Amino acid sequence: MNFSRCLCAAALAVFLLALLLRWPGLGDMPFHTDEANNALLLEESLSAGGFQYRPHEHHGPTLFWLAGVPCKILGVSSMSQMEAWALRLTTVWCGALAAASVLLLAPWLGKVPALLAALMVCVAAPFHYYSRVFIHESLLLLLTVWLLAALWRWRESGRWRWAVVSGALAGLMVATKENAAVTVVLVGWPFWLGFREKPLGFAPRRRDAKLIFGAGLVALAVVLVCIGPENLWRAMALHTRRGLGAEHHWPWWQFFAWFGSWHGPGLPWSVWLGSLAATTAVLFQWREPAVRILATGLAGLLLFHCALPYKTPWLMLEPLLLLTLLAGVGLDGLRRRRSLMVGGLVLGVFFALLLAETWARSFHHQARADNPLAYAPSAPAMNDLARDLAARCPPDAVIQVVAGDYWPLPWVLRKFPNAGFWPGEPRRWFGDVLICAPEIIGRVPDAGAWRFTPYALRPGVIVLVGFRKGAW
Amino acid sequence: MKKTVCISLALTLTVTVALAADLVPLKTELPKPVLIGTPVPVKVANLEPARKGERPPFMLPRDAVNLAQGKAVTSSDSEPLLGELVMITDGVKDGDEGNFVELGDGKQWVQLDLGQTSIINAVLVWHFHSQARVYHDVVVQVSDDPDFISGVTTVFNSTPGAGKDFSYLETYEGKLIDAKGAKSRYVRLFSKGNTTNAANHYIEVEVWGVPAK
Repeated sequence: MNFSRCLCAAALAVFLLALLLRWPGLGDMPFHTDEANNALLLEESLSAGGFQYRPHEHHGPTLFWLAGVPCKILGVSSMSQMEAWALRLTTVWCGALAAASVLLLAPWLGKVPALLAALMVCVAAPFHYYSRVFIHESLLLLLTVWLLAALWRWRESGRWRWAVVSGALAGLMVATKENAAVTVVLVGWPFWLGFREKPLGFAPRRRDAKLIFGAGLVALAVVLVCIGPENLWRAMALHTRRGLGAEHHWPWWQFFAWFGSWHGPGLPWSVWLGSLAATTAVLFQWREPAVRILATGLAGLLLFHCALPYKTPWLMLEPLLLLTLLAGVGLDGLRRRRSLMVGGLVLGVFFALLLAETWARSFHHQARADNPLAYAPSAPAMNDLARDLAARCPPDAVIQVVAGDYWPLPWVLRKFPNAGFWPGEPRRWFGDVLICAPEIIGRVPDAGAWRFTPYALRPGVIVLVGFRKGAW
Repeated sequence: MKKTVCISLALTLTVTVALAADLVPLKTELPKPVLIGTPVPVKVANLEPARKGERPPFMLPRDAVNLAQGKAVTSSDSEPLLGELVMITDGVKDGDEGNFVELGDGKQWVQLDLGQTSIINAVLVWHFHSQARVYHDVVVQVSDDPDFISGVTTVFNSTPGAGKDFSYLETYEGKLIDAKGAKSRYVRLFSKGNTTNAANHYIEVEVWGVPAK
């Protein structure tokens, strides 16, 4: 079997394995608030015939375009027709494709290191977890892998073709999530940091500058087409302000606490062992351009995200991708230093520990509040509420939701067309079912006529669901 | 006869007009959900997981009563910023403005004198429930010593590291604490601010049990 056939077979195997690992219980995890928001945006884009970009709320259109394709084929146009597992399939495909796409880096990293890195992306808990959630991260990860492959080919060949592809991918990344602009710069610049090796060709600097300028123009054009020229600066200004603002403000070391701490379910083997293997790559294989480029990109991304006050755990996926690629190189180096049997045993233990973490954090305790990957997760009680309402109320029941914070209830109540949402006290109380924040309950008229039961929205946030006594 | 004919004609006319107008029930548009960003997790280290369903019934002896009703209340803050200490045992548990006592910032306590040594089965406390919040370091102790120097029994402690109990979200139901039949005359409740501000609040405290013979 020649090199490319061998690579295709390996990529297909990784893709299928990734799908297999991501499929079980896809609809079980309670729908996160961000997923519910995305489902509502998808519904809007399907009913309006296109995605309307709002820079102050949420991200670019690419995820909705992608998720909209199967919806249009199947005739789905409203949230009431959607299911959690079906929406999450979009990001599962992206995650599985990202794992398989790591093999595109085989000519750069080496065949075995790329395969090991692909398997890590396939198995490791952070990649696994966020590809089973209907948010933008998995698609962004896929585009990042493709960008790395394109940048490498551009660097090796010096051709316009790869500069244009790199620019287009960078534009799509920004159109997926605005903060990707920083990722593009921090991942891209080490490729031109003087890490060229003479045998690979040493293009004149002037030509490099022209290519970078051209790629930048392509990226800008893609972003403008996707989000509209009028939104570009507003989006950048808003997201910069958000990044520096008080929302989701965590200390500089928070990412290390989320991804390196032994607290919570399972142990973070993917980061512990990945860091160990990546360190061996940096120590023993620093002469290789791939190691220098990846390590520099990783250091830049880590420094940036640690310095930025705004932190959510999924922002670490791109740095973790670079760490994993380095770990692939490091693991291969370790394997080659030992006999085949010892090397095989080490790899077996390595992947078994990764799977143990994935089992604990991405399956068994996926919605637990102390799971570092589950940031403000929706409580399992949301699944219970959907079941209880379906069992107890007729489909045309009028449901009045009165709460300042009611997400993900719009998703939970999607099958009830007569559900309305009031952020404050309504003028009239006319619902058959009342869902109230605890602070509203004292203002419900004739409160004795209702039977209220608490349901958790998220850890520390509850609503009280009231049925009129004697109804149904 | 003439009158009957007139009434019949009027009724027929009304029904005809209604049918001709093709009336339908009023249907109003309900408010749509408004998009929000990623929610910020509630940062309380030992927060109690939310209960599923209604609070299970708490079993009391048949002759148990609310021993705290109308009893004297003292506090570490003898001059509350809002309200009067007597409101803590007046039986009113509404969450409205003007129905709670606000003590100063930091660690504060209120103490209830039950009048005689009693077997205490349960303590029910409402700090504040017109906003979802968590009170920090809630401790409930009982003793026969009014100065709480000797014979002190702690029946609830949510202080992280020191107590084994969870912090909890305030609701209209109040927090039900199992006192496990502790025999005492005085009940002291501590707290140290809340997730919204540094002040301490009480709406009502009930102490359920039986006076010791």
